[in-house]
Amino acid sequence: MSTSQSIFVNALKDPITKEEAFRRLVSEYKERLYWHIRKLVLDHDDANDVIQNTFIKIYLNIDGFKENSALFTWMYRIATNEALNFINSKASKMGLQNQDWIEAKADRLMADSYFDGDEAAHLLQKVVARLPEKQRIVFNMKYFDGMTYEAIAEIVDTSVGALKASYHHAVKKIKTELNDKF
Amino acid sequence: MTNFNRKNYFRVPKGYFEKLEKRLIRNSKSSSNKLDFNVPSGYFDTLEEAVVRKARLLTPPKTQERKATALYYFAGIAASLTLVFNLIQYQQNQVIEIEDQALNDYIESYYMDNLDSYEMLSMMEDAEIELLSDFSNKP
Repeated sequence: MSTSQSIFVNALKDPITKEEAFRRLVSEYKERLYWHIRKLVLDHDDANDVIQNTFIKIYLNIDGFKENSALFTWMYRIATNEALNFINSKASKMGLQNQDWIEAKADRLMADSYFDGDEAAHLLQKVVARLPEKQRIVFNMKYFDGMTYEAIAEIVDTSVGALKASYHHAVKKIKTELNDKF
Repeated sequence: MTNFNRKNYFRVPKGYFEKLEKRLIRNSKSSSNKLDFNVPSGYFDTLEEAVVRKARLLTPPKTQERKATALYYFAGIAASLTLVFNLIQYQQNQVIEIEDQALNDYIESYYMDNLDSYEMLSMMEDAEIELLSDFSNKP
């Protein structure tokens, strides 16, 4: 890992500098992590809950971060897990499967005051919501965030080959669904 | 019809169109993200404050503060011990003998006369107050 990252991580672990370093961390990564989470949970209020929990988890667990991966990768992984746990918890409280819960969210997007997309954007979100969970995550990271397979592989702890297969399955399904609609 | 493209005198840097395509796709993706999803005005500023505030609540007192607090405790204990020791020494040198019962009576009468019921209650244990209320409820 880079020296600058190590210095920053040490500052995050040191009780004297922890708060200031954490403030810098939040300032630097809040938007990127927020948008990643938002694409998974779709709703702003839900994304707000998840991003706050994510940063608190990062704060509480930074001492256990061994720098086997980049700091951002580690944080992305926490954010992804938090978003999935959130969906799981919300869905189970309503007696729904995760997939049904997220599809319902996607269906209601046009009524969301913080969604500015047109019909085509809404349709794309609805189709993406119908993907199996793993494919949906991979598709979001690859298509919307433009991340490399290598980076995604580190975050979701899967081989690049498996990811590529997953992404291409997702793209194929989306194309088929969109073609059927038009 | 004249083919204007037959001879092209203009050139572009090597790999330009591949890079251009990637750049255009990247830009369109990032702009479409921002167009599709939105957040309340000033949200990211308030988010930062909210997160830092929550984290602060989870932070134990700083090590240095803890060390300083411990130092004050020890200094306090040392001072108390010195005071007690000096008092004992002083008392041993006194020849005045005061009868315990007389002293207690004096203190009790002096303080009880000047205390209101809330102040008295504040000095009592819960069980004592409970007992007191049992007596007062009896006809």
